Amino acid sequence: MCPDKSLLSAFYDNEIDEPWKGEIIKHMAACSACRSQFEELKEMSLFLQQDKLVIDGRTGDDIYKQVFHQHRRSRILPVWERMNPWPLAVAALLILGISLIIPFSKTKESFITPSLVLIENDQVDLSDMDNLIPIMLPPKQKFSYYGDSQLLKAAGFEGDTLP
Amino acid sequence: MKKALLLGGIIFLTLGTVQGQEQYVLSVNINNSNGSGKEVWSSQIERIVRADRSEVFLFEAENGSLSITFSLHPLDDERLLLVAGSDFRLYENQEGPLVSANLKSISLKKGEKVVYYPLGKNDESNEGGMLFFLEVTVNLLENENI
Repeated sequence: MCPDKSLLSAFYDNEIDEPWKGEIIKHMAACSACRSQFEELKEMSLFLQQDKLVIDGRTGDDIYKQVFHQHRRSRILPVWERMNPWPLAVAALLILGISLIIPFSKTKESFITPSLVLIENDQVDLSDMDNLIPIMLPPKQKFSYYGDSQLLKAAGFEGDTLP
Repeated sequence: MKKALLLGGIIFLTLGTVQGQEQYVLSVNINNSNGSGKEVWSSQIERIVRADRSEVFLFEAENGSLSITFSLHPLDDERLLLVAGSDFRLYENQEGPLVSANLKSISLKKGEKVVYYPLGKNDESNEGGMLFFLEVTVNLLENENI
């Protein structure tokens, strides 16, 4: 029984181990059809291994490029390859720029002098929900420490009425 | 049926969120007086404070820094618990840098005024020294306050 073409191709590529290899050699010695097929494989292989392969006037490189471009055209491109990258790049630069500017813009104004800002303006900003209020005491004023803190009720409160 | 359940769930969650975010107006009158009781400077600050959230006042002077944290916790419809924490660092001290941290609390009614002495209170005459204190009043935030 003759081996099929794929088995012969594997045999040509030296991918068949013993004892099958020996059996195929024995068979081919007796079978002219298999020998003929083996010769075809050999010729095809040598033809494809030429340095400058030319088929119908086209080189191997031309054929490869044509196949590659057909493959690229036929596949579905992902979103990030289809869309224009410029708007995304500009948005990223804007975000980066703003995030770099904001920390520096707050450093000098973070400390306020209450006597200068809050009393003169006589305004209270109720909308600012930052829970940290930095206050710089006026120049030459110092803290005096007397001991533990004390929290006391002020005299004169008359119940629920607002002062 | 599903839509009704979804709508009910949204309303329930919204009401729960709104109810849990009771806001107060924290009025703080900062006062610094000299040894003879004369006011050197004062300033008033009002802040919107959410229940159970803290408000931090950071004071900086030449000789030290003082951080005061106020937080309000509702006790019932009328009363609140005011918790005041202080963290004081005195850089210029004869015995080396001084660090003092304190935590005090007091229950108060809305509109009631309390006085907080974060650096202690000297009942006797304190010639040359400054007395630093904060008068604190808490009111419920209503639309007309905004």
